[in-house]
Amino acid sequence: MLRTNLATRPFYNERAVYLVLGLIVVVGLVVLSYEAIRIRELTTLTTTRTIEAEASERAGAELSLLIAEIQRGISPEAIAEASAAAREANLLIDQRVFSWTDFFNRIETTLPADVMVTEVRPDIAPGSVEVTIGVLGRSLDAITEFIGALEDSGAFSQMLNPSAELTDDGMYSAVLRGTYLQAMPADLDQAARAAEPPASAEARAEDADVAPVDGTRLAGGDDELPSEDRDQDATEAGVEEAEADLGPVPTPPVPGGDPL
Amino acid sequence: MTLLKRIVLEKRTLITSVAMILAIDVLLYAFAVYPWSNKVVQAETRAVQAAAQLGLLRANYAAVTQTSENKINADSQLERFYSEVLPVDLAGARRISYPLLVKLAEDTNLVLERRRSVSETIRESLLARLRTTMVLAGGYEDIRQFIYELETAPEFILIEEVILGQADGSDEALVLTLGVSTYYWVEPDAVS
Repeated sequence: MLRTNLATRPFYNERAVYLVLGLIVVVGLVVLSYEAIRIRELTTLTTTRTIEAEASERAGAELSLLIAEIQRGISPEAIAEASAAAREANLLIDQRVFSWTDFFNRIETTLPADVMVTEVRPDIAPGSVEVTIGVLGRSLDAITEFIGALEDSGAFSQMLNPSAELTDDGMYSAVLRGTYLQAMPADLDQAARAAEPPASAEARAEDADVAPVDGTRLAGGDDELPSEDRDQDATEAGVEEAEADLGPVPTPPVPGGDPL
Repeated sequence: MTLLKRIVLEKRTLITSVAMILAIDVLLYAFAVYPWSNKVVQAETRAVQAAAQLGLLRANYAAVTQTSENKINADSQLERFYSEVLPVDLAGARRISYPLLVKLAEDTNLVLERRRSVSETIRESLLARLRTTMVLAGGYEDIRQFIYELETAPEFILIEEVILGQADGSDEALVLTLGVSTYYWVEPDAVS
């Protein structure tokens, strides 16, 4: 069998060549189209992002100006002054709402017969009331009993008798110091129950407004102004502390002990 | 001549066109798609940074505004406290010391034995204090009543000290030494 091809231009499959080249062209055009679409997308994206960035930068610049303007109006010194003034006012209000009537009621219920109170001096700080009580007792045991009774009442804690001395008339004079857990009614019902004046004042109190002052604490006292979570308005009395509205919370004198 | 060379020679026009298409693809990627991609990344980074900065500034603005509002609120409350709750001046404070305290003592059957008032400025404060020490004599219930009336009075007066003693020559009568204070606003010039 003769296998030699004697043709000067031997046959080859041109269709296959066209097919391959055609495929390459199709792929090339697809890539070209993709790139065109991609360029368009990228252009749009770039423009959008640039506009966004510029808008943010512009808004930031405006905000910076506003912040600077506001900050010019509220210097740290002014804030410190307002904070100090509010703290002072709140302390005064705390002192004002301290109920001496309630305090004496508690003393009376715990005072042993052999002890008499000679002096009371509260030291009211934000969140705590330290009291100094001067007493005269027939014996040191009676004074110790009084200290125990005060603490047992739940109204006093950390009571201490730093000094005691025998007086000329055979009595013991002592100074007691401790923390008075001032009655702060947990709710208005409790406050209402407690808000009864001494018996002789009851009739007059019916006609009188027993709230001595607007007891609402001012904002910005204990905390720095910017961190004020307590959004109060003194004109809307009693927003922060309901008990402050009630003013002193007097309770009827309770027989017990021999006051003097 | 190999078959491949012959095909290239015979189809060079077509092959050149195909090559040009591929070259355009490569050039387009190199000089358009790739640079634009970088630009997009840069623009996105810029946008994200600007948004973050704006967020910080907004938080800062909110804090500053809140501070400003708090200060205005505090100033307003203080103004109200100074002008409506406290006596407006020394004369107002004096009126609490006298005649209010004296009248209260009379109303509750206490005898005013002695009264002393002193006005003092408070360091680093816009308030001044009028401190009054009273020595009163009377029965225990009357003293309790006096204290109750005092602490429920509408005037802003603080009981700061209570000293009780037995009156001479009487088992029933007591002597109450009472330290009370009231505060009033003073002009900053007066403080300095």
